Amino acid sequence: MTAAEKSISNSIEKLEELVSWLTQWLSDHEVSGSIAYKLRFAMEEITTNAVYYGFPTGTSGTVTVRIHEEVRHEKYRLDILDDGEAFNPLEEAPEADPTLELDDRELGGLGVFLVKNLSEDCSYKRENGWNHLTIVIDAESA
Amino acid sequence: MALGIEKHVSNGVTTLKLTGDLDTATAGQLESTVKEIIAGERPGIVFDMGGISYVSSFGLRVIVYTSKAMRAHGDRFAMHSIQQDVMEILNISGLNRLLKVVETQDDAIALID
Repeated sequence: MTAAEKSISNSIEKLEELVSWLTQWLSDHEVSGSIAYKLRFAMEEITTNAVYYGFPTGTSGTVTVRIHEEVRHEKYRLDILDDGEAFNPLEEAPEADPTLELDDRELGGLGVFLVKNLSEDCSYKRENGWNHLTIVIDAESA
Repeated sequence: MALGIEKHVSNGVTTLKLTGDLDTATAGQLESTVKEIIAGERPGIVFDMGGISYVSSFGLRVIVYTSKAMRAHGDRFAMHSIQQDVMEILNISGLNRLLKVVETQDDAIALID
């Protein structure tokens, strides 16, 4: 079982470090194609939301991502943690509606909806002051 | 990966040949380019997506923005050569049926001319 972890401070400039870290890990472990896309997408959406909206203005905090390979080239688990305000994106993020016409659409709001749809399983818990989201992505997801 | 934007203007239609990642970090560059084009006279825009291997929800946001903004300009906006994983994101979002998504540059031009 392979696992890795990376933490950043809650600043927008640091988000790219997470993307570089994950894409390097995926490349090192020969994970490519659709499953690599979904892992990056899930991580980027959740960490971006956490850094943009999860912390009261002016406060510093941490966002941590862990990746576990559960079945080689088949199944991966992302754990995404932040010590911002308690927020369950799976329940509290505005729900996007894929049936809406263009004129009725807001520009945002698709991220969490897509993460739910691209993953096999998502769950949230609040623990010791941390938001902890677990996302399982496998070769069959979506 | 960075975003590459190569601009070609032909018969009043601006084609943006896009390469790399359309993500949280780069979506703003495309939005600025689109805004410049829309400020011009009778704008028409084609996104050549053949070189785009990754689109995040910020990328989708710019695509939706462009499409909505082009409503006021005769809907002269189309996209082509979308890679499979990116297409899956568009399908799940329900954007595939709202956007002019075609196979080739010629199809795109034919749609908006």
